[in-house]
Amino acid sequence: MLEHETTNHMTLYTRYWILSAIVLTALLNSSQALSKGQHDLLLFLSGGPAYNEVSPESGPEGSEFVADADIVYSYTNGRFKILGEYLLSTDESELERFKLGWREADTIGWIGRIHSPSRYWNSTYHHGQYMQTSISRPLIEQFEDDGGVLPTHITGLMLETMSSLRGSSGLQTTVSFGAGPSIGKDQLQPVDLLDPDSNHGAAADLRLGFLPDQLGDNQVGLVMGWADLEIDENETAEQAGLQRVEQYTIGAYLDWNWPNWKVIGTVIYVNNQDKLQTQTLKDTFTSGYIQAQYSFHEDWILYGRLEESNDTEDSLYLTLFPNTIADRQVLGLRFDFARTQALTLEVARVIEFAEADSQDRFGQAMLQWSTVLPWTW
Amino acid sequence: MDLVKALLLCCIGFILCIKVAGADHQVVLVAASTSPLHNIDSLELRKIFLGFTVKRDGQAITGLRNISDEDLNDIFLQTVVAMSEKSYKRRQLSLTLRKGIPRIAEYDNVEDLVKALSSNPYSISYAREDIVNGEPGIKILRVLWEKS
Repeated sequence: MLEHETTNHMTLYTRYWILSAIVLTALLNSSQALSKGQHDLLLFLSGGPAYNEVSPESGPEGSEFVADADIVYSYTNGRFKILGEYLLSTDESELERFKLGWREADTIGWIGRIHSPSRYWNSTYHHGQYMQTSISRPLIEQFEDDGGVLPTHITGLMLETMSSLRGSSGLQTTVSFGAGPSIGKDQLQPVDLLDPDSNHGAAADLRLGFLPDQLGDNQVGLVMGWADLEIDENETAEQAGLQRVEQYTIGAYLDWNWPNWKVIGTVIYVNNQDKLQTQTLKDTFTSGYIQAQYSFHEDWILYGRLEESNDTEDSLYLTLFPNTIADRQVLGLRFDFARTQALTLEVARVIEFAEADSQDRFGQAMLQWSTVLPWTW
Repeated sequence: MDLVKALLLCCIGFILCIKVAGADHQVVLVAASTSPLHNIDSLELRKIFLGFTVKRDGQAITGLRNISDEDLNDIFLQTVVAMSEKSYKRRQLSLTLRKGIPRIAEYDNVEDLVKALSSNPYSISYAREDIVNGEPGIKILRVLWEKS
């Protein structure tokens, strides 16, 4: 126990050293980088209170204050690229992404810790809270340490390429392969670059996106994933004799924009092969969301999101993650001000997995201020 | 009578000056005088300022923003990227976040812009023709916009 705590403290110190090194490197580079290459440093800040109408046992607290700072550093010199993202919040301190890239024509190859390309929302907004309109993110896009049930971080290789089609349209292909998360005590645990261990199975992901205009923001596409999820100290899994889960996912997504409207949505079918000591059980479920937002003024956006999951009752896999959100109806209002700041109010009706008793349904209200620095830009 | 004539001449002169100034009100695409760049079409220009890679002689062309003049900025947003300032900035933030592409560098005075262009022969920017015409170290690639 003592040894474990010592290790954790060392890991914590290591994290702060790494974070300090990233920030110092970025600052020192700022004077020289233009002559050698180009670099950029962004700081996404957000914070605000969250209130849950009912507080389920071991679930979300009745009320809490959530704040986070997401530091993004990028460096490009010719074909070579570096991208790092470190998140410091009231809940965690984690090196979320760190990858080295090489560009060759319209293809970029990356190596490092990445966000799984088969999670479209995450691949678009990452941890930049200011960039996404809503405060919350849908279940199938939630990160592993924030109640997510699908792998969102991979450590390995990723290739991104764009192929031109007829006219200005294009096909964007993103494929990744590497080490995925393991199933930890009550959440998925991705590889931690600052504290790696070997108990992680392989994972592969693919996203195919059709863009009617390569220079535009609209796209529609398919996502696929496979992950071999090892069990790592999950009591429920050990009691059930579950040794590992082989997970297959397939889905479709849409991100479409009109002058005042935006619609973003994904639906994913999940097939879990639960490997027990003597047999393999199959459990499947479907989960999806659709978010529509309307700008009724240059600085005001009204949005709503519907999330729904089906066939979750018989899923052994989902029992490994208590207090996971199954269905949610969200309504929100965002006000943008002072160039790069926003204030967002969001209310939601939430239903968690497990038996449909009243304890698993609750209302939620959140208020958030978000921004990106530098403000002078 | 002489006073009336003089006033009339002044008015005519003033109108002519305005007309000439109007004819000179052009926005031009510029590069360093030492730059090998000479021909960049509208689609390529849009790609450069939207963060896509456009190459000449194997070198990626870098776009530099000139924000020294509010009208000039509006013309750039309308004619080059066809976006509002807010959408354009958001797009750049998104590219940095997703692909690690640094935001386009911005210059609020022409001296610094000329220095930046001179330091990279494969960089381009835009400026009012009357400001950069005759400026040593700068060459005009083509007219982007002119007052009709």
